[in-house]
Amino acid sequence: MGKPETIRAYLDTVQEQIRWKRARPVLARELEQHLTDQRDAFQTEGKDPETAERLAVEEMGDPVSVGTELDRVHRPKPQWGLLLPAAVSLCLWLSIQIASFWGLSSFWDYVQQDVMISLLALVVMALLYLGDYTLLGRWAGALVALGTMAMALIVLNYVIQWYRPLLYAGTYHTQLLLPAVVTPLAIYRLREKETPGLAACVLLCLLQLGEAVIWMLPVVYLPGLVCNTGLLCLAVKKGWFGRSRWNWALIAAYALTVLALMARGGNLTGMASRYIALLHAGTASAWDPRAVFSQAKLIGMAEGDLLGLGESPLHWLMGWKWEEFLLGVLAYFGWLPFLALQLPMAVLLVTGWRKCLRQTAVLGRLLGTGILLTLTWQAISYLLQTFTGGWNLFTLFPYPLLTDGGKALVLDCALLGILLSVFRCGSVVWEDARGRVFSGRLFQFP
Amino acid sequence: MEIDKSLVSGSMALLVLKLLEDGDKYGYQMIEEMKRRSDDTFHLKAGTLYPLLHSLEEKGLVTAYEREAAAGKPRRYYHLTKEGGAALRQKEESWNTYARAVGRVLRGGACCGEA
Repeated sequence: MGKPETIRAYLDTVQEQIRWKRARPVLARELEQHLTDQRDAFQTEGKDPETAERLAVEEMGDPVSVGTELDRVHRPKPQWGLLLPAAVSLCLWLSIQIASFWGLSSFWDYVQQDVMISLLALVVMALLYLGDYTLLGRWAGALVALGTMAMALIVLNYVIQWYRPLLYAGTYHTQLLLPAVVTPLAIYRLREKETPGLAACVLLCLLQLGEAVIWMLPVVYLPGLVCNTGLLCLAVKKGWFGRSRWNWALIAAYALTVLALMARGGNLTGMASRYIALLHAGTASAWDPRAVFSQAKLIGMAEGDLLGLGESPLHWLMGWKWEEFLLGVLAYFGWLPFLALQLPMAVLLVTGWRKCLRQTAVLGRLLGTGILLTLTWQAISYLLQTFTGGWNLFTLFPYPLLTDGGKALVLDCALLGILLSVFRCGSVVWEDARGRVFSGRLFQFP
Repeated sequence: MEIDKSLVSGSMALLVLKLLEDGDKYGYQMIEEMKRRSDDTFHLKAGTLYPLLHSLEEKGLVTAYEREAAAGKPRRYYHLTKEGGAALRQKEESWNTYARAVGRVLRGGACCGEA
């Protein structure tokens, strides 16, 4: 094959060497920019256009070796550091579920049901992992509108009591999904519209609270407050809404409004007094976490009936409730199992944050931050509840991938799938000067 | 005088990081700047530069972003990160040690009072 003499032929030859199709257009774009600069320089020196283009291509070097080198650098990153803990977490979830049904007459029915749920969660995660997350950015406006409308319908359904099975079904989980995905997409869509864009984002964040009214518990507002405030702070700090001093004031106004809404329900005062009671008495529940912590063994069952249940470990495991799970593990099985069960999620969160902080693409950084803030909040608030015994004071949500029910497991796996896709494609997601992502495909295979 | 390519290839990352020390640049600018600073001695091939820049980005030593350059043309600029700055200082130190050692050998060995 002869040496290419035109820019187009050169770029085609380079792209043929790159196996990851997703990487081809973005890499070719940069090389093309360079080649046109070089061609223009030759033309300025007095060369005719054809000669200038041929010389520019020659200057660039052998297209096969350039393409081979780029192929070596740009391979899809499988993210084993995240996939492995996620897989271990899923196995743990299934094992705990199966153990809790042990000895029941309908044991096999429950096992079958939980295996199906795990498979569904796995398929959802795999599809999103292999997919191209930048499509979420392309459809950001539509997805934000859809999320807001779905939430409005749930609230409306609650007010007019139209369809009873859905009265509470959507609420619980969308309170996690909205800050994790919809707020990042709203910020992505409205950024560079200066302070009015930020004001619109704040308004959307406030609209998300509509659902929390249904629960009449201030604790439901907390994930939105923590995650949305974190995302808005990131956007303002990065200057995505300009450098107006009013931007920080808008975020403060959002946080204060949420607190005011919590107080308006009359529950904030009660919640605050329960926090104070916790500090003095050490517990707000029938169980005494301090006694469990002080008497728990490294491994094995603690002395005495610390949980007041008078049961054997197996009996307890068969009837555990999500909010008491980790404290029960500590009392019945000891510190090592307590820590070991949390190890996969800890690895997942630490690895995830390290990778997220290195994301340069705006969309990837926003989605990564939103998802990690949500998962981190879920884990920390659950642990705070476990350590203090302040049931319903910190969270109403389960520990991610551990004490999840079926729907929560699928939701958390979906969030993980998007996060994995962000890190997998990160190196070839380039944004232009206006922050637009280059073309993406629905499914990307190595 | 023609320079042996193997002499340059080992220090290419050092040279590229050094070019970014005093400001963000895009690939074409870096090649031109390299020619200027080396008195036309180093003719860095673009086909060598871009894979190198991308591997430095992969290691977190540089980050890249697209901005409009002169005449409104979009260009991908590279920026030296904090980790990149630290790596640059380390590479400079290694290079200086190496260059001093080569110099001593070429001069026939270390002599009294030489650092």
